[in-house]
Parts: sequence; structure tokens; C-alpha cells
Amino acid sequence: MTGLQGGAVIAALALGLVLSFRASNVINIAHAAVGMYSAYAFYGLRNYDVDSTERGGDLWLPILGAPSKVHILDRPTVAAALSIALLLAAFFGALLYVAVFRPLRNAPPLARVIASLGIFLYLTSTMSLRAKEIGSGAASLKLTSMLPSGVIKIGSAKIPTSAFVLSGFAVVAALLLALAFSYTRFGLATTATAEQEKGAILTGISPHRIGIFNWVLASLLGAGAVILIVGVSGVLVPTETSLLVVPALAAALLGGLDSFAVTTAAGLAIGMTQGSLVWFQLQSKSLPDWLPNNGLSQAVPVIAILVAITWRGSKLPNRAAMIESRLPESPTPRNPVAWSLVMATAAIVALLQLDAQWRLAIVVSTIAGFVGLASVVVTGYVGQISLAQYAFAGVAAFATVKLTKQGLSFPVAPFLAIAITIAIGLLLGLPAVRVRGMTLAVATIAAAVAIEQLVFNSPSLAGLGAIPRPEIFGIDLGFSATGDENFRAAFGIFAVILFVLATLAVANLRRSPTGLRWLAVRGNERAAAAAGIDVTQTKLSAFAVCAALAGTGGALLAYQSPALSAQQFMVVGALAVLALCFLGGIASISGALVAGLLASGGILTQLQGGNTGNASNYQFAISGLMLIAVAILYPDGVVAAVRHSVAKLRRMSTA
Amino acid sequence: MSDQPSEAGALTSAVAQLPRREPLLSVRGLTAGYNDVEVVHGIDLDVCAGEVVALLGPNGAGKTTTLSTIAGLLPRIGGDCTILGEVQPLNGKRKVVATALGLRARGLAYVPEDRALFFGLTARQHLKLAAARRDTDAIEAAVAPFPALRAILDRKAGLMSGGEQQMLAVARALAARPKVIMIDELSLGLAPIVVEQLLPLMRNICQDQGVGVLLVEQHVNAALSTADRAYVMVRGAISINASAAELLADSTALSNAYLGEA
Repeated sequence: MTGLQGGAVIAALALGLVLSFRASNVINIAHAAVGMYSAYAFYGLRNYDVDSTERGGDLWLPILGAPSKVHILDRPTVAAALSIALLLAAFFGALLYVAVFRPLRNAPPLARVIASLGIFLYLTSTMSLRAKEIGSGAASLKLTSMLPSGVIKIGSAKIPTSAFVLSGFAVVAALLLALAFSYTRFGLATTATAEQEKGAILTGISPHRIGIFNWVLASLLGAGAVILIVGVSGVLVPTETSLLVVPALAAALLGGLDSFAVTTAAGLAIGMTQGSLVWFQLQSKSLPDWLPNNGLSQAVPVIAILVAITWRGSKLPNRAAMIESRLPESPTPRNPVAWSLVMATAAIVALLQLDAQWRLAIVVSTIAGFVGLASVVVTGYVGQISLAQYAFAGVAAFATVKLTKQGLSFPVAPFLAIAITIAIGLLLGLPAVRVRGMTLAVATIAAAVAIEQLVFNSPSLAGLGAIPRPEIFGIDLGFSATGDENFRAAFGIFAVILFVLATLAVANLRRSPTGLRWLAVRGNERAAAAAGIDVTQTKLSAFAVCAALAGTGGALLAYQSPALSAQQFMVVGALAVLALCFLGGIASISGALVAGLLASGGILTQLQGGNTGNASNYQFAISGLMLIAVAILYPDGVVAAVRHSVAKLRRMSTA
Repeated sequence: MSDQPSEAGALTSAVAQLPRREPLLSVRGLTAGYNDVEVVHGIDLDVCAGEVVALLGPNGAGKTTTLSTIAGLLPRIGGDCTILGEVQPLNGKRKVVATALGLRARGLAYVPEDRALFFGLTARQHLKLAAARRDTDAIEAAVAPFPALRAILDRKAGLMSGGEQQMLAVARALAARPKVIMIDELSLGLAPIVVEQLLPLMRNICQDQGVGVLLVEQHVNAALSTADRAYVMVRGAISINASAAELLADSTALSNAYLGEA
């Protein structure tokens, strides 16, 4: 029953998610990331050996450009360190609300998702930099548990005492919250504010005060839970710890983002299911070899949740969930052919003239551009916030490799792989038929994590190695070569031509009746349905196109990389691409171009002088900050803002 | 456009002879709008204790904008606003919430067009939130005018009919024991028979509790038979300022204003 303590942490984190959602309609994807930082703060302060002369007391800071740590006091006690860490967590909670989510309270859900992704990216990347400074192995922080270490026997089962304490923490917190929300004025006021801010003001409730209080409470709960579990598990890794939010999101969704009791029960249940699946997989001899270790435990609850929320959702939003008014602008593409020719010529000339590193950068950018294009279609044109684009790319990449190893040759294997990806895309599109907005974002993150854990980490996909060079009409399209010839231009030109064709196809789709149906569904599902549009079919068609585009990128990646690894397709990558698309305007092709140019290891990285050790962390951290700023200042994206200013200038000059 | 049409001059002078009391709500030269696009161009308006004032006008005249601006929910562009004896400073976009909360605490209640109820909360919960903490009989006082509402105090607002919702919206305003109530489109979406019941109720509340009421109404005749005075707003300016009786007697001035011929 190792799952109980995991379940307790999931439950406690989920309670925080419910709180911040009830207070400001935000599903805070960065919730566990704040907890992760608090854990670094706490264990950094406590990083000394009681018997030695080490002084500890260093506070690690997640601020780019500032010193990475400051010394606060010598040899802090647990109480002192915990107070400081929790105080910081409370401060972060208040800051996130006041500086980010309060200004975004009337913004479209996409802007809110983007902002929380920005915070997630920023915190995980800055703390990854700090983690590198701290070092690993013996040099890493001492993670000692504050909980009693004994074991309690119930019948034949042995349950660690810490599990009892942790689950007690979660259950008591849930109980207190449930009581407070049903019986106190504060609870009522929170419920009221979440539903109707104008009404709250007219009722004499200050939404600011309610929001700050709830966010502080949520942050404290999250920080407490992460600090405790990190001590027990002995694992503190920025990204991994922050992704604890995924099962917590699942629990919160099962609780309808509303019920504290159901959320806690769901959290505990998910943890225990995971625990028993780990045990089951260790014991069972009959399971197929291709299942990765822990794969079942990570993926099965997530799949169950996907099914549950899909089943709970309804085909059309109800009256209470009326669509927000402001959507990112989606201009009709003008002169796509001319633009494509210019782009393609520039890229091809660069590929032929520049050195190997540049050729690699252009190919990386092109592939990221495909994933960006996929995001533009599904999220920009149809308004379905999907974070599974890298999972699609991964499916296509691994399928291409696997099919090639089975004996299929170049054009057949990737085509088949993309077909498989489209099928998976349609499957992942099913939740979108019934859930929308932030809930869909969460569902797709969960799905992406499930695919990552269950498929990409599968032992049968590990170490497959490179596949034969693609060749068409006798032309060698291989990427690798020896010496200066490496990263061959032929492959790059092939990729660029494919990308240009894909761009043209998307531009045409956007202008076709299909594109108009996409925009109609994005604007108002109920109105679209009333106008005779098949909303289900429209959404699924977008997911199919999205999967095909991401899949093409993935298939290219299969031919580009010497060996595929699960790391290439982590959900964090999808967050980054969506973020970059948002900068460029999520609902126009420019979004995909910006995503390609700015992608890690792409053209911008090359302009900055190539990829060095920490570059991607810095890049993620900075794109995180940019995301937050852009979500608040330009909910339509920077390019749209520029386009507006240009149009304004033009009007002024003609007037 | 801000100049008042001359035809209304005779009516305006008649009002000027009314006994002057210290107004609870006094607006002079109010300009209002959205993001510096001016919609209301310098209007004057008074509401005294114990009187029902109707604000009439065709769609798009700027009635709702006027009310939201007085309530503090929209930043004011210009003009003076004296509410319950206190001159209101110009509020920027950032201070909207604080201004609105402050005005409410001083005794200005506002029932907006969309009613702004919490569909997930019961009527009792609405009133509990709206009443001052120590004011134990506020709920009783708020529902006193609405026996129909008293019977469904534990029903969620989302499950109420339009008329019941409107009663709850007014009761919520009353629970804070306001001195001035502004109601936007009391009759919006309601059956005529419900409107006929609700409007006289406002008259009673006004008389019994000595509050000033500012009503925005589309049902002109119903509003005029309830109100003491009326302002008619056309394209962001007050075109008629007269007693309700005068307007009822002379319907041509009113229809001219509505049809844009004033």
C-alpha cells in the first residue's frame, strides 16, 4: 500500500486546485510548480548535517538575473525553515493572483491557460538551472523526512506511518475546507465571486480580498504537501515534481472542480490505484514485455479520468458556461502562395549556403513549425486548447521507426505512421466533443502524459537506433553524412518543401467552408449547432488535421534523429510550442512560423550562437516570462498587436 | 448634441418650481462611455429622498451607461457626481471595484439589467451575503415587500422564474438598507402582469423607507404612472425633464423624443 501517501499528496494538491478554481476560474497548471519551488526553499535552508559544522540556511531563488541563492540564517530549525518556505509560498500565491490571474479574470480561457503554462515553464526552467548548480548525487540537497518513519500493521498489510500522517493531512484539510465553504460567509462569498463578479461587487463583496485569500490558502496547501512528500520519497526534480499536478488535476476534475470531499476521495483513490498497479506489475509475469516499468501506474488512472470527464461532459456548453466574448483574431491568409515562395526560397538558399550547424537549426525549426501549425489549427482555428501535439509527433516518429524496422520502406512507412497518428488524434479528439476550455487542456495534458508513460517509455521502443535513409526517385534524402557534409541540405530542402505545402494547405483550409465551420464552432458552439453545423464532426476534423500536421513533423524527426528518445516528446515541449504560437498569434499561420523560428535549438538559438548546456533552460524560462506578459498585455498575441498598429498607422496616413 | 432641445423648455421650467430638497443623488454635466468613446454627453440628474424618478429613452440613449457610471462600475469620463452628500472624485479604470464597493457601503444600491445573481446560491444566501454582518433582521426587512419570495428563500436563484429573480435582485439591494436604489429595466423579460405588480411595490418601498429610486424603464406608461418625475434621454443627452403627470398628459413630446424628432 505504498499508494496511500502518493494519494494523500494528490488529494492535497487537488484541493488547492479546486480552491483556486473556485476563487478565480483558473485551473492552475503551475500549482505543483509553486510547491516544487517551496520544497527547494525548504530543503535548501535545511541543507546541513546536524553533526557537522555546515551552516545551511541558503535560500534558493527562482529569479533570472538575480543571485541564485542568498544566505539567510545559520542552521535553521525545521520550524524556522518551514515558516520561511510557507511564507514564500503564500507570497507566490498572492503574487500570482494579483499580478497574473486577477488581470486575466475576463480574458479568454486560452489566455489563462497560457499564463499558467508560462508560470509552469518559468519555475521549472529556473529551478532546473538551480538544480544543475546544486549538483546531483552526493552534492544534491539532503531530503530528510519530517514524518515518523515507523510502520503500522493492519492484518497482514504494513502501512508506513508517514502515509497515515499524510492522508490525515489531506482529509483534515478537505474537511475544514468543506465546512468553511458551506457554513461561513467567506465560503459563500467565494462561491458567489466565482460565478458573478459584478454581482459580488453589488453584494458588497471585494473580489480582490476573496481571490488573494483563496490563492494564498491554495499555495500553502500545495507547498505543504510537496514539502512533505519530497521528504518521504526523496525525489525532488523540477519538472518531475511539478508534473505531480497531472494526477491532482485528474482528482480535481473528478470532483467537478467543486467538491472537496469527492476531490480528496478521488485523489486518494488515484494514488492507491497507482500503488497497487506498481505492485501488480512487479508481481505479474503474464504482462507483455513492452509495458514500461511504472507505465501502467502512470497511465491507467489518467485514462480512467479521461473516460470519466468525457462521460460527464455535455455535447454543447450549457447556459452557465457561455463562451467568453474575446477570441484571438484570425485574419484570412492573404497571398499565401507569394509568402510561401519567399519563405521557401530563403530557407533553401540558407540550406545550400550555410554550414552544418545552420542546416540542423533550420531543420529543427521546420519540424517545430509543423507542431506549431498543428496547434494553430486545433487551438487557434477551432478554439480547442490541446497540449497533445508533441504526443502526436512522438506517435508518428516512433511508428515510422517501428514500421521501417518491420521492413516497410520510405514513403510507405511514414505515410502509414501518419495514418496511425490521425487515428490517435481522432481518439484524443473525443474528449473535445464533450469538454472544452481549461478542462480540455487538462484532458489533453493527461492524455499526453499517458502516451508518454505507456508508449514512449516502452522497452520495446528503446534503443531502436537509426533507420535507413529516405530515398525518392533515386535522390538520397538522408540527413546524416560524414564531416562537413553532415546534416545534408537535401533533407532540409525536402522538409522545407513539405512545410510550405502544409502551410498552403492550412491557409486554403482556413479559407474553405471547413475553415469557416472551424471558426464558427470556435466562436459559439451553440450558435454553430443552431446554424446546422455538425459540431462533433467539425472538432474531429480539426483534430485529424492537427494530428496529420504534428505527425508529419514527427515522421521527419524520425529520419532526422540518430535515435529517438521519450525526452524529445515530453509534454513540456508542447507547452513551449503552444506558448510560442501564442506569441506569434495562435489563430494565424504567423503563430506557427514564430514557433518554428524561436523553438529551442532552432534558428533563433543558432543566431544566439548555438546550443550550449543551459541554453534551453534559459530559453524556456524567458519564454515562460514572455508568455505571462503577452497573455496579460496582448491576449491576441504580439503579431496581432503589431498588425493592428500597422493598420492604424495606414489609416492615419491615408486620412 | 449636448444642447437640450428647446421644445422641452416649458416642461423643464415647470419642474424648476417644485419644492427643492437636498438631493440624495446629484449629477451635473456627467460624461460617460467606454474606453474614451463618449456615449453620455453631459447630463444633469437629481434624485431626492422618497421620490421615484424614471429615466426613459429609446434604445442606445445611454441609460444603462449612466446608471453603471453613477454606481461606480464604469470609470467616469467627466462631470460632477454628488452621492449622499459626498462629492465623488473621478475614478480611473483601476479603482472601479473600490469605488463601487465604497458607494454601496454608503447606501447606493444598483440592480443591473442582467440582475447579476448567483445561480448556484439560494435566495437566503444572497441576502445573507448582502446584509451587514450584525444586521440580523435585514433579510426579513428585504423580503417583506415580496411575500412570493419569502416562500422560496431556500431555492437556488438559477431555478427561479424571471419575476422571482427580479424580486430577489431588488431584495438583495434592499438587504443592505440603501438610501438610493437604481434599477435598470425592472420589467426586462417579465410578463406585463408581473410588471404591473412590481412597479407599485417600488413605490411602496420608496414611501415606507424614504429611499430615493431611480428607474430605467421601457414600459413608459407603467413607469410614468409609478414615478414622480421623469427624465427622457435621447442620444446621450437629457431632452425632457418633467413631472410624470405632465408627461402622461402630453404624450406627443414623449413620442417625438422616442422617434427622434425632438
